[in-house]
Amino acid sequence: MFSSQLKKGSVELLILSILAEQPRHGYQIGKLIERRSGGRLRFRVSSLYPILVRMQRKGWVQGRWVERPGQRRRRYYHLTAKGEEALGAEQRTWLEFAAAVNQVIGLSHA
Amino acid sequence: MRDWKRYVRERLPLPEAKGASDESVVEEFAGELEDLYLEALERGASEDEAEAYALEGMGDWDALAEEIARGGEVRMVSGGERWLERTEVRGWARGGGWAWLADLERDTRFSLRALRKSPGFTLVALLTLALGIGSVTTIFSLINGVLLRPLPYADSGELVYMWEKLASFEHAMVTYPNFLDWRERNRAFEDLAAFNDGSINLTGVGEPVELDVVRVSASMFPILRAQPLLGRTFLPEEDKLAGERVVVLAYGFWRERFGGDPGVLGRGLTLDGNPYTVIGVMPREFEFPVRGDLERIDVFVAIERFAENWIDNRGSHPGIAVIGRLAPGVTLEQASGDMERVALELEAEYPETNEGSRVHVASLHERMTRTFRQPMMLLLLAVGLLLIIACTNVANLVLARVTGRQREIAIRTGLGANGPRIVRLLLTESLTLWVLGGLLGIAFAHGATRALLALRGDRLAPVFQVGIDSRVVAVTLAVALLTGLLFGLAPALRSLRLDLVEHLKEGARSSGGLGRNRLRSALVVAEVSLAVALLVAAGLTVRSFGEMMRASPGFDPENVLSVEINLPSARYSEASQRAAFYYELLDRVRAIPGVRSAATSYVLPVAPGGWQNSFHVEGEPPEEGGVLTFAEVSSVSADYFATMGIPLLRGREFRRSDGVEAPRVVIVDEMLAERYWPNDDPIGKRLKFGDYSSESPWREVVGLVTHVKVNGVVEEALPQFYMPHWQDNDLAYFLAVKSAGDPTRLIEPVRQAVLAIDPAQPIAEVNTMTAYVRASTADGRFMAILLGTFAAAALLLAAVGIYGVMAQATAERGHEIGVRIALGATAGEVLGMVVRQGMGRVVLGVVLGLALAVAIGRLMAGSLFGVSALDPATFLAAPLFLSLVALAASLIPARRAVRVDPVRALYLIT
Repeated sequence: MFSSQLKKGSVELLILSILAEQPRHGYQIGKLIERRSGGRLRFRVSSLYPILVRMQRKGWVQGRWVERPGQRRRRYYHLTAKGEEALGAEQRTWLEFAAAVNQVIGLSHA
Repeated sequence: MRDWKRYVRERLPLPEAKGASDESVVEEFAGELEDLYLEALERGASEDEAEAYALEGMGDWDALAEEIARGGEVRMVSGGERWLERTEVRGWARGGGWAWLADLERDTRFSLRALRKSPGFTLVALLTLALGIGSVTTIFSLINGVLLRPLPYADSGELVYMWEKLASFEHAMVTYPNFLDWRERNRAFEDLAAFNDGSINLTGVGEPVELDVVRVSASMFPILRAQPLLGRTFLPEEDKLAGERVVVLAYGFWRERFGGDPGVLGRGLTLDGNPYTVIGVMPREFEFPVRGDLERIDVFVAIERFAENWIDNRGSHPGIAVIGRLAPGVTLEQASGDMERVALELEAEYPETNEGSRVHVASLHERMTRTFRQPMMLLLLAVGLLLIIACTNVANLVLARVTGRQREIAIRTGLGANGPRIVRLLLTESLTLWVLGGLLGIAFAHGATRALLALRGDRLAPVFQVGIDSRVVAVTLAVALLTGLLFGLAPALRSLRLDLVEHLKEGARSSGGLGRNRLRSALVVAEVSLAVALLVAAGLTVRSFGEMMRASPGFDPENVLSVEINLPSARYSEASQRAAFYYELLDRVRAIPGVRSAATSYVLPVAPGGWQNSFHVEGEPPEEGGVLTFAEVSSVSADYFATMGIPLLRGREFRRSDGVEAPRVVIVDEMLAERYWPNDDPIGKRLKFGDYSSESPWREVVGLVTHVKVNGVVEEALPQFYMPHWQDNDLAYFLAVKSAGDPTRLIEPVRQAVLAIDPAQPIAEVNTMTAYVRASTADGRFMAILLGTFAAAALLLAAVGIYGVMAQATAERGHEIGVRIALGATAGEVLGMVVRQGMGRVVLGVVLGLALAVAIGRLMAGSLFGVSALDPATFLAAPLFLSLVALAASLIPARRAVRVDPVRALYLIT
């Protein structure tokens, strides 16, 4: 039931969750995941970036160049309406998945 | 602040697209890098540490590009397609040509960046190419200057050189009466001019000096279309027996002697004791085409003024050659035919002198370059081989690089670049490399050409201007492009066969495909065969030079000084005057401390020049059909053979008593004695000048000496005989002095001795006999040095190339070797297997190379001395030596292979 997309799907969920709060650029996304996971989840740009690209292709996120005085132009990603839907769906899938896993683990300990 | 965008561009293997999307990818990553970098700096890292951190945070660049290619279809691939589309659309819009140029420019810039990214590869490849192309450029600049450039005279293609062909001599100088008749009777030429060279003594201005003079017909300068810088050249009435004595100065002489004073016109000069008037100065750029034995030319005089002894003597060949200018529309063949007609007329009118006499007509340029053509072509062939070896090496480097870049290529293909596009990109990279190598080669050739001229520039007449001109540059770049195309194509085409899917997979290793191995084997075979051929050619030349050095000139040149004495006829018209000078000269010189012996001779052995004369031996049958027998003749003084160290085998040297009144005597060499009196004592036999019917007196043989090389050690000489100087009292001769020590210390005492006899008499052509011997082998030395250098370079390149190929092939077989060792093969077995495979190619290369060497040897046969073109020693040593080098080059990687831990090899390579 839970395909091999799981791992990839989990990264997408992380990104979607972070972008649900406010638009972020690539570096911030990586850093927030790292900080909030207590350093347990770290992604290099070369891993994170292709996923962002894929998510754009699916129409979940959109990038926009933002210029601030005295700073380098950065590309900020924000959720689209489709992305918000996807976030809901991903969250449900994740919870089901986690529950299922827990169930299995609980059985094995029984 | 760092340029992070450039940083990204240099590392991210994306195509050279300038589309907005690609730019934004670069910019985005630049932002990432900068943030990572600043973050690290804030935590107190050093700049280098921060950079390392940022790089680490970016991860794998290749994987990133790969992921972009795979995952970002919408953005990236469409970007790539747009880029390709744009190129094509632009091509249509601008009519093709400019788009091509724009593409070329972009590809070139990309290539330059790619080359900068691997400086090691680029440096080695560029140096190799610069060496190969530069050597070709150097030799081509020689060939261009000598063989290709027209002579520096207007319409120089119309200029011809003419000399006589006698029944018994293929190439003879022209007799003055024949020249006059040729000029009178021909219908093919605008005009003809005679010339010969010699020396003339200048007195009355400081110490007396001997000037180098060319005597020319008045028609010479008009034929050459040469205008004087100042004044005028000769008038026809000045070129007569009793003409006005006038002189035209060469530019260098005018600058030196007269400080470039324009008021020199009309000034008087005393030449050979006669008053001459300066009528003109030739411009700096004017060079007389034929220099003969002269070091330089100081003055020109009209020739007929000197023709007193020749003008009525159709049998005398006083070193005259003829230059002519073809009439408009007349070809060389027509002119030759016309001169044949003239020669037949003269033969009918003067049978006793002109029987069998014909005229050679050659283009002046051809005549002046004929001795250079063959050696220059040989050198061109040698550098051509060297170039191919260099290109082969670089092609192999490129091939290895293409293999290493399979992932990049796969990514590019994934991004939408099609096969031809990739091939073009790789080809542009090769061409960029080759053209850069060519430019470096031109710089290299600039220095090398100078070195060559320093080595043997004296051999080239100054009319030949050797240097890097626009044609040399154009040919060099053409060679670079052509070889770049040829040798860049194979590796580029190889990229088409890459298995894309395979190489996009994780951990794709470069594995040697069958095709690439074949290509590589071909490179090794080519390299070895060319190196063997070049090595053999160089070996033959070096051996030939060695033989030349070993060849005995037939005399002992050690510690012998020679100077030329040239008595002016004006002051020494009487035989008694000459005799008085002569006796006193020898007496005074022999009295100089340190002088062992002194003698005079009309001809110096090995030195340029010579005197051939016909002779008839008593008792021989009459000559027929004008075919005379010739010998090298010289008139020498007493002690000559002792001074020159020429062994006297029988009889005696000349004595002072062998004078004008005494019986005529000669000393003959072994060659002559062997030919006419093989079983008899030559002493007492008789010979005379001319043919059987000549009026010349009989001369009795009083001595027998060994044969001496007269005209350089290389030329085969005629039989020789000598007369006593006293019986042929000439105005010009050489004084040879054997000293106890360094002969150059005697120069000043000898000069003083001459001045003590006649304060107006200079000495000239001061030289040592060892210098003459050395000069006579200089061509051989030159070729030996050049070919030796080329062969050494070829050997080095071939060794490097073979090593490179072997190392790569062995590295790629690491897995297989690991398996073999794991299965129990011993190190020796594996070593043997690797080496055997490498040496198989080497042996094939050696065989092909020897075949090539036989062909080249055939070309060289004419210029070899004392060595067969199939010299077994050379044909054995060269391939053996090369094979040893190849063996060493393949042993090193093979030994490294067997030291690999099998487990590690299996693990690494799987």
